[in-house]
Amino acid sequence: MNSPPRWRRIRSGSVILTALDSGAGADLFSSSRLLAVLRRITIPRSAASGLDALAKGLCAALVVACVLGAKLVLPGYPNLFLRPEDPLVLILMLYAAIRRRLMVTPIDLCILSFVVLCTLSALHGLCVGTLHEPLLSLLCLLKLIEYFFVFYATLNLLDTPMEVRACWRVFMGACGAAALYGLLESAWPYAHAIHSAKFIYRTYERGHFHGDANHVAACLMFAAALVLGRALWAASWRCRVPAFGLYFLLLAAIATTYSRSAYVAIAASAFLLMSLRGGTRGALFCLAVLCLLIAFAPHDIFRRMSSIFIDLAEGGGGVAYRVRQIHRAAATIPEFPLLGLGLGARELVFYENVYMFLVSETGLLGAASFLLLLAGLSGMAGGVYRGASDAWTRGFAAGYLGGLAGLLIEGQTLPVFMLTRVAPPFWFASALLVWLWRRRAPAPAATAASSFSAPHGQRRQLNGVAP
Amino acid sequence: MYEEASAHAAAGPHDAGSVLDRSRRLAHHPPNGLVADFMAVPCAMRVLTEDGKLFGRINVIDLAGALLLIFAVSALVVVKLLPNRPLRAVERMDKEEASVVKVVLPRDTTWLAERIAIGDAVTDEAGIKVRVVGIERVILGGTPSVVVSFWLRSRRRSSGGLAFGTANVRVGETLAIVTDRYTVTAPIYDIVRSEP
Repeated sequence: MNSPPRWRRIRSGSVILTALDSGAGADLFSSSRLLAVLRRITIPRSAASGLDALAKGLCAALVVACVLGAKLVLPGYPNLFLRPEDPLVLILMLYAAIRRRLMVTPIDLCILSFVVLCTLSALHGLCVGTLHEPLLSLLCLLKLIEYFFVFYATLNLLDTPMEVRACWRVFMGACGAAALYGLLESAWPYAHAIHSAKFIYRTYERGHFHGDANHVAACLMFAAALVLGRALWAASWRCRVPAFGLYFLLLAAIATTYSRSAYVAIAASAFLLMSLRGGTRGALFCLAVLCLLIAFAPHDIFRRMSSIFIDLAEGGGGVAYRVRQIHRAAATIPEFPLLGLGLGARELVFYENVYMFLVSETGLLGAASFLLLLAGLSGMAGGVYRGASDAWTRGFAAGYLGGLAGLLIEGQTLPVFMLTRVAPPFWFASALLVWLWRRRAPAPAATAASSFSAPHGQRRQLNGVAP
Repeated sequence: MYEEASAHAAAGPHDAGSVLDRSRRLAHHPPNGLVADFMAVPCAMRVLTEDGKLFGRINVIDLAGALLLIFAVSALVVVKLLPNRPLRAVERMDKEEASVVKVVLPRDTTWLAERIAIGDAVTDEAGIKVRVVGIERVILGGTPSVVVSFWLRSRRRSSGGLAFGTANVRVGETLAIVTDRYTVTAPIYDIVRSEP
């Protein structure tokens, strides 16, 4: 009778969240017997605040470690290394098990469905014989769970908006440090001394990072979109100038990676954000800036962009290679449409397309649940953007939308949401977004049990110690 | 919205209770355009009940935990007890894998060693393809020989084995390296190292 017109509901983005929220959010956690076992451990009330502060620090350290990508190579074993984020995640998981505070969100069911479907697909792959290395598949599954854990750990450790902003600054600081490192490496490329021939030198591929430059570029692209949101929606020039400074620093670092998909993604996210901020004028201004950048771009960038269409028959890169890859991956989809080959059936480097990875390995069901999860997050970002009362929140939500759009574009060339360098920072930022959404929404998840009802913005507790 | 609630209330006592509960909650927290209208998806409740259980039987978190445990145990059992189980071929792409390959210059071209220098390289659009990393004079089978080490951007074939261009990288195969200044065609003596 009082229902809003259909167009308004669609415009508000609530339809996606409606579809995601089953109404049983809170009881997902409270009726779990697995979590009930963990609830038996108690910690002294006096130690709670100190441990909380420590856990928050560790959570910040976790995202810094993920972005900076430090690896401790074991002496004498060049192929064995330890990442600092692994022990940090273990410590935080242990703490979460003891602390047992959980904030419910509409995407819980999507996350759990995705984990269940991935496990089912792996079991299915084991049964039909498509999973050749089951232990690698198990590791892949645990890595995926670790990513979601970063989301839950961050979400449930946050108490105040000031902490959300502090987390954002830590993330940006880490990205700024990584960008500075990239520029230094680009200015003094020590690898040139080793490789005497002249070629396009891509930063982040040698030395400290020693990985794929595209992965770091995707992470920096996401951070750049967040900081552009901050810069465009800042209330004063005092906030705007440093944000723009960081944005251009990140842009310069991304330029040195020669990541073609990151170039396209950063342009698309900037266009989206400028359109959101300034409408048609903003979009035209963005296009003009892009044209200027293209006109004055270094020659090497053009060389790199033109190599998109060169078919290196024997190696990776380029459109032709990816088309061959998609063709091979697609060939298996009709055989196992629902559950796919099983998570980890192929090595991750096979896929340079996140959508093909999802459909081929986890089937249509897994892909649908993950895409629904992303739709839910974008719905929340839209909701926070529209309903934000302060410039910081609005800028953050807009930046998140731009970054997510960029990652979806990069998903065409990389399995972005499965990469160690990209996924944890993404879920970290998503936790900040969901916290903001949860804080401003009038008890959206308080649907299952009235005993879980809490004032807006306050943490729900499951038998835990009081903050 | 409330009419919809009444319609669902008529479906049965269980549904009616839950929908009416929701109506009461909505009275306290009316939707404002951002918050979802939870009553729009009553069908979801049939899969996931109000107490957070799948079809009213098992909690989703417990299900995920149980499945993970089952998979971990099955994976261990399969790896330990069924190493030769029948497997389906899964088509993959070739994977880039750098390698250092040693070739022995044929006796009639050992003079070429004077022209080859460490650091000589061949590049393409993707960077360095071949680089000379070592020249040694050794005694092989009682005869003095020249061994040249090349770093190659080779690839691991999905079917197994290393390849460089269209040629197989195997001991005994002939490797042909063409630079701007010289061409080396020599048999592979050893594949010393391959990097991931």
